[in-house]
Amino acid sequence: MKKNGFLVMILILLASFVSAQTANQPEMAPRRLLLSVFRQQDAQITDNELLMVSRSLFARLQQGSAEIVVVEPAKDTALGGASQLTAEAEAAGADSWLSISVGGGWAALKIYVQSFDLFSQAMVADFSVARDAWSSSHDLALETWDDVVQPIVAHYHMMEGAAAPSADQQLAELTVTALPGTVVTGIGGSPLTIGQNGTGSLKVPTDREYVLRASLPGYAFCAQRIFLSSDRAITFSQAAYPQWTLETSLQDAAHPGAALSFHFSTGQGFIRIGATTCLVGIALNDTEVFSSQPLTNMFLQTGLYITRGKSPLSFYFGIGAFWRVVDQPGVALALDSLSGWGFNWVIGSEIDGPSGGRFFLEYTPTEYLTSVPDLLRASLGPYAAPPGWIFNAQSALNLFSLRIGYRWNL
Amino acid sequence: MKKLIPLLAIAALCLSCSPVPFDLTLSQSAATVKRLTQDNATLITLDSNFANQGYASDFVFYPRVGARGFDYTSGMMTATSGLGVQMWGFAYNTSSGYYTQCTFWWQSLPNPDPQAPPYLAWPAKNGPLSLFGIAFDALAPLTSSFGIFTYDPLTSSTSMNGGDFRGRISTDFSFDGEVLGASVNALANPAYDVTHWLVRESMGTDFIELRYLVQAPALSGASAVRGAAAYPLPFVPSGINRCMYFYDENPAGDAARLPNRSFASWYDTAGARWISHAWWEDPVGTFHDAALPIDHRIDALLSSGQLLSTEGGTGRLYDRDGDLLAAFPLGNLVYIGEEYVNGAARTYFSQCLIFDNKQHFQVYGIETSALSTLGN
Repeated sequence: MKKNGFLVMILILLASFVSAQTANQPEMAPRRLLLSVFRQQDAQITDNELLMVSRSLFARLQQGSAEIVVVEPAKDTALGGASQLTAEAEAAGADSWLSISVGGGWAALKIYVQSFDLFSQAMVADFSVARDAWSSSHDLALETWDDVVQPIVAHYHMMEGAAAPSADQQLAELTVTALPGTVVTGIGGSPLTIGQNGTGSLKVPTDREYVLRASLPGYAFCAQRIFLSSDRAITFSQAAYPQWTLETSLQDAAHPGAALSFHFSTGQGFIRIGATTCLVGIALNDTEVFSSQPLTNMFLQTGLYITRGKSPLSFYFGIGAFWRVVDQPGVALALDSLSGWGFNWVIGSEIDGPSGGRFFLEYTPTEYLTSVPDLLRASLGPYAAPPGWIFNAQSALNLFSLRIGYRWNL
Repeated sequence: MKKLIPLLAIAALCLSCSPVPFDLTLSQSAATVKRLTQDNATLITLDSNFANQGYASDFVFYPRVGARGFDYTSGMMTATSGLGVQMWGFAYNTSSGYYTQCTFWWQSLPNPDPQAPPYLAWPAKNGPLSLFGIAFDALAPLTSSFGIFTYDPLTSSTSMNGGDFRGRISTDFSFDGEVLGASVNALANPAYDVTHWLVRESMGTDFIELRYLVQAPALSGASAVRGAAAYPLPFVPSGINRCMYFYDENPAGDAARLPNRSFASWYDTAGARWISHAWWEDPVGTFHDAALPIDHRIDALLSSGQLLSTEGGTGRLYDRDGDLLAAFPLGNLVYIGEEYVNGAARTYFSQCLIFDNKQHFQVYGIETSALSTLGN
């Protein structure tokens, strides 16, 4: 039963992580690259042979990256300038173009390559390659076009939102007010970075729903869902992560605890001090509902958030030490003689909750150091070792431990 | 997926009720264990688990006594149940790695004293595997028994030499009496130790104190330590049928321990506490007594002349005048006796650990002269 629980625990963390990644990832779309192949005036190849070159390149480009959809012009066009190709790309619904112009003959073929990104409005490739070992178009069968394809696919990657606005798309101006440096995604195209004046704007297609996400290190994640039909201004109210948080928790679904955390200025690192007590506990076994043992764990931890501020769900990890204090009536407080202290590791996930606080779930594998391993083993009861426990001569490791709770901002 | 996460979280929390590795009794014993020497190199693991068979959780392991102290190739285990005192003999099985049960004996105890241990056990010298034991019935001492139980793993032969108290005393001393208390003291002699009995005259109020040698396979060398004539001990309440009794032979002739003292402690039901007394002769034939400031059960008189209490899982060491010398936690450590190793007396404790559905024992020792350091 408890072995299954361990698997469930791993599944939770994996599921949480996958879910967070999914939630964090806006819809991504491949780039649409218009491929135009031209024959230069000195070219000594036929139209059919040029078409075969085009086909070969088309196939290799498409195979070279899943992040590119290669499109072709609706009609044959003559060799033209960048502005003409840009217009053709927009007409074809593409967001970039690749121009291949072929010169010379099969024995000394020269290929001029240019590529333009409509989003960044930049020429991202401008180079030439040569083929001097060919004898005819039959050599195309073995051609990989690596020296052409790789520089191109290296530049074009999946982008958020739909393809670049087409020429006949209605646009509206979206103005975002947020803290300087905030990165706003979900608009389509490149993320919008808020300038020093606290605003940023861009033209985006209308009659669409957008989910705008604002992230800034040290500040809580914000999101707004809007339907854009005309020019619009959006303001994000970003709350800085507090320096201090207070939490209450339940360890292993049994023992209550509390902790105080100090968060460093960026909100990524933290130091935590707290206690979990066994003075009261939930037993839920065959003989009792509640339990009480004169033991309290004092702990000190430090850790880092790894996805904080980028989605409502954030992850963190940490390491810490704990001290087991025995509070026996009539006897002075003392460290437990079975295991006075040990280490634990923390892999946690946190999700925004009411009142600006956050629910958390932590996986907390724990190592108890001991000089009396047999006594420590016997303290777990007369039966077989509980699942998740590993014993050796100096310590006992519990791989099966969870802590759940809520953190309040102070 | 998002909807699944809370469900998975709840499921994991319900299943993650991992126990806390803590037991107050074991924690108390661990503090002292760290300052003792573990005598058995490896854990003594029995091939059977008696823990869930109706016995009280008072399992104690007594290793066999060899020429140089304890010999861990075999030993006996005691425990009590509703039937009385149970005793098992075990020998180490090299092929299985466990101690395998080789024999079993039990003594009925219909009415054990709820306050005092219902039996006295001591690993007996001079035998292949021997345990001297006295079983006490608080209400009817006549039915209680003593004996030396011996088992020889080589021949698989067993013997039980003993009987009821009254018969043995009548035979050896022509005295009709009931044993109120008994104790064993270690001697440096490799062949035997010594036991002392406090006997009250049947249908009377006078006492005698007797001495026997504990030497497998039987008791021997009967003598009366203060003469064969009975004498009154008026401070001993007439209503008690059981007490803890000790006689300091002072074998080393320590002048500070002269004249030889006797000690007794009994539970005062009305006051809900233990009362301790000492008495001695000075000169011989003139009795003196003193109440000791010890309100805990005295469990042993050590070779040092000090008194040891293990009541309530706490070790308390007193001098012969009852002044507390040291107190230290014992948890489930049980005093099993003293043995001389290389001429020095060592005090031994047995600890039963139950895990993996098996019983495991550890035996710890410390030089008796260093026992008081446990309280530091």
